[in-house]
Amino acid sequence: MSPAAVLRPVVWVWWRVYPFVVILALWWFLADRGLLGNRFVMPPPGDVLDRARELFDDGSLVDETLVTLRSVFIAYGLAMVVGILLGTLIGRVRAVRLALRPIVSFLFPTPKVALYPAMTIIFGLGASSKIVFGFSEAVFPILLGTAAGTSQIEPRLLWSASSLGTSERQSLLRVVIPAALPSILTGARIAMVGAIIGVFLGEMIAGSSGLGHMMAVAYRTLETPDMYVAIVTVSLIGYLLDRTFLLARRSLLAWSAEEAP
Amino acid sequence: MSTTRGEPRQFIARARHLAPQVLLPALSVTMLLGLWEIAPRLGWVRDTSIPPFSEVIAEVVDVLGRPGFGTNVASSAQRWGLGLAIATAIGIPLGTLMGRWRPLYKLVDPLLVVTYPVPKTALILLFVLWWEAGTVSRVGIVITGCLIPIVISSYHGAHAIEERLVWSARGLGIGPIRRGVRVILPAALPQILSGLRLAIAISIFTVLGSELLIRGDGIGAFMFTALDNGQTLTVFAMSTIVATIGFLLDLIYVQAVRRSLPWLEGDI
Amino acid sequence: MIEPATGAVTQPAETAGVPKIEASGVRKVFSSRRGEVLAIDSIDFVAEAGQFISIVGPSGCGKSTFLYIVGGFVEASDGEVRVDGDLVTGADPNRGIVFQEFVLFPWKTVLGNVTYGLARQGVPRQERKERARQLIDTVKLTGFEKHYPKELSGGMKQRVALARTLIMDPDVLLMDEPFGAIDAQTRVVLQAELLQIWERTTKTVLFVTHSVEEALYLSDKVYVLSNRPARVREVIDVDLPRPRDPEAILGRPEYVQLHKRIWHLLQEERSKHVDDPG
Repeated sequence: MSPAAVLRPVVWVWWRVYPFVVILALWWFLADRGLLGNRFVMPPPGDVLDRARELFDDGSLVDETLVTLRSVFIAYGLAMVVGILLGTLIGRVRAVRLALRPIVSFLFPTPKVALYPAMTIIFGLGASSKIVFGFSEAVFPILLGTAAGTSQIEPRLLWSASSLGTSERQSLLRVVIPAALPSILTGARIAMVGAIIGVFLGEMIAGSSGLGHMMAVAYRTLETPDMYVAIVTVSLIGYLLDRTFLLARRSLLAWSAEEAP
Repeated sequence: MSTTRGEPRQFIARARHLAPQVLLPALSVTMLLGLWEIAPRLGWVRDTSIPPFSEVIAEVVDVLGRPGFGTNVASSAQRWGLGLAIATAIGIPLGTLMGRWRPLYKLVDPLLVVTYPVPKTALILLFVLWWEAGTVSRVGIVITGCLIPIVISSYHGAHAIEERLVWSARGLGIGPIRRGVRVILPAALPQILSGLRLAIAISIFTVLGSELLIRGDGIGAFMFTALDNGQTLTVFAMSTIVATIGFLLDLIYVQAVRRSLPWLEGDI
Repeated sequence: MIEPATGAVTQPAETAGVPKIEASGVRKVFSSRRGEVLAIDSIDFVAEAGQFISIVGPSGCGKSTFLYIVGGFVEASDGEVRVDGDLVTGADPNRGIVFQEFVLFPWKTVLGNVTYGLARQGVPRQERKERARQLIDTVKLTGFEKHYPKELSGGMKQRVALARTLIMDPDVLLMDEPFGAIDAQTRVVLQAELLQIWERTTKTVLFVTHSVEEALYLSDKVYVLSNRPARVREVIDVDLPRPRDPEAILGRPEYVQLHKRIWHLLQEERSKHVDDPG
């Protein structure tokens, strides 16, 4: 085996791992030199890892993580359904696009966190308001990506399909959605992070469970290592979900001529 | 050649095409607001949960007049503006350089990928631990929040530039820095401006979110106090106001770009 | 057995004496926010079964639009098109179409594209794969079944498009400048292969092109259209004997005369302004 062939997988792994190395090294360095504060304010990575292990062993870390994950998946699932359905309608039916344009244009640039306090009034302080918040963050990228993708379909593609015996109803699933898939998946990727941020922040601002709540409580009770455990956990989850998404996307779009981001 | 006979027909055809563009949106907005007004009044939803639209608007007018409101908006706006400005000043050069110099891209991009899923707004709590709840933390969180979109869009803009454009410039003897400013930046501008539009929305989100978390002063703190005190109407009024501000800022930005840079092709 | 999929009706052509394709008074108006545009003023058109007919005209004159109307993809504003005596009201597998830009389903492999129409008809998987492989052999793409369109050259993509349409065994083949986006060498090869396929079957071919040479090499008749709004300037019979050699016919006096005639007509049309009622 040539040296280049041996080196390639090593290099591949290195570039995946290097950011974690840099962040951990930076963290350790700052904590060790006390540049951002003392050991209490900025515990070194080792302390946080120990605390994480404690919380894992007593089950609380897993519990809180599951609460957050559940809300994220429900929010994301709803956003996909609503976003793709509504986005397809907007993309394919001119009347719907014209009718909904002002509403979508108004809500899209709105900071959804501004609506969160109202959400807690309407949906209470339980998981529902977090799910709604996560949903509101996730639905727009999917909706816009779907609308963009379904509205830009080459008409001759649909003509080809219909001349090969595809009815109008069939063409939606067999032509429109596959053709729009690259655009839909771009939006869906952004939406994934949006759902996580919405749920986590919602739990932080006004909640009773979940990783966000854990971080907020730790802040108030000055259990600083717990804060770090919470944010690192949610970040890792976000990273893993994003990576998984990209893998799925690459296989779903193997046929696509564009480069995957 | 069109004749005078053809003109009324053309007008009718054009009107028939344009009428839905005005009527349909007007209809849907009216229906939505109408629903908002009627549903609480008819008991379809509790009016302690959702106050009727007209009452919310009345409260909006009232809130706008309160002295505390103005000062809080000013505080939030300062942090927002400063944070956005600094993030832009750092992000555009960084992204552009990444787009033109591959080694820098290879170095920075993996870091962006890893930090992208982190809920930046949540970091405010850590910032407060490190730097107290003052301007540094509050402006710093805004920078943290919107830096990545600015960097990424600047990178895409600079990366996708037609190479021959740059070669021509180099051939004319234009040095690297002048090239950067006079050739690369304008060519990358559409993407950069698009990223900036996103950054505006994200930065407003971050200011608001961080204030809801650590309070102190600012619009978010104002809103949280109302929430805490059970002033439902005020909360809804505040949400409406902030939503409208976000919408207007976006609108103004797009219009400003379109007017000052009419040569720009496509949407941002 | 071809099943109707949409509004168009297909019946076995037992109606002798009725032309395969007949268009009368076809007119098309497009409306947009800028007003109305008359694309086709009036076109009358007849094709007997088994004929190869080309439609030529200046760029943008509406010849493709007419083809789409015959295909049932675009609705005529006035007039009618009949195939086998029956009114065209929508697309149908009996009128297959091939476009200039190939328009393959990019998310499907070559095999997936070719079997698509059969799958819509409910043909079982094994059978449609076998039939598809046969056709893929016919268009000389054996070995590329698992490739995606993005991996193919222009000429190869057009072969796939052809196979995808031919597998439905349509009576009518509509071709919209099919070789326009293909390099000159491949084009010559594909033209010859198209003629072979046509001579083996009894399909009626409607072939839109802006190349006079191509029209004369391939067809029995040439319809020359005017500038927009489109009208039929002249219908020209191409009495060159078959089989035709693409090089040899270039020297024949009949060919030269026909070429001059059509070229002259097109020049006249090109020099007029668009939308000139004169």
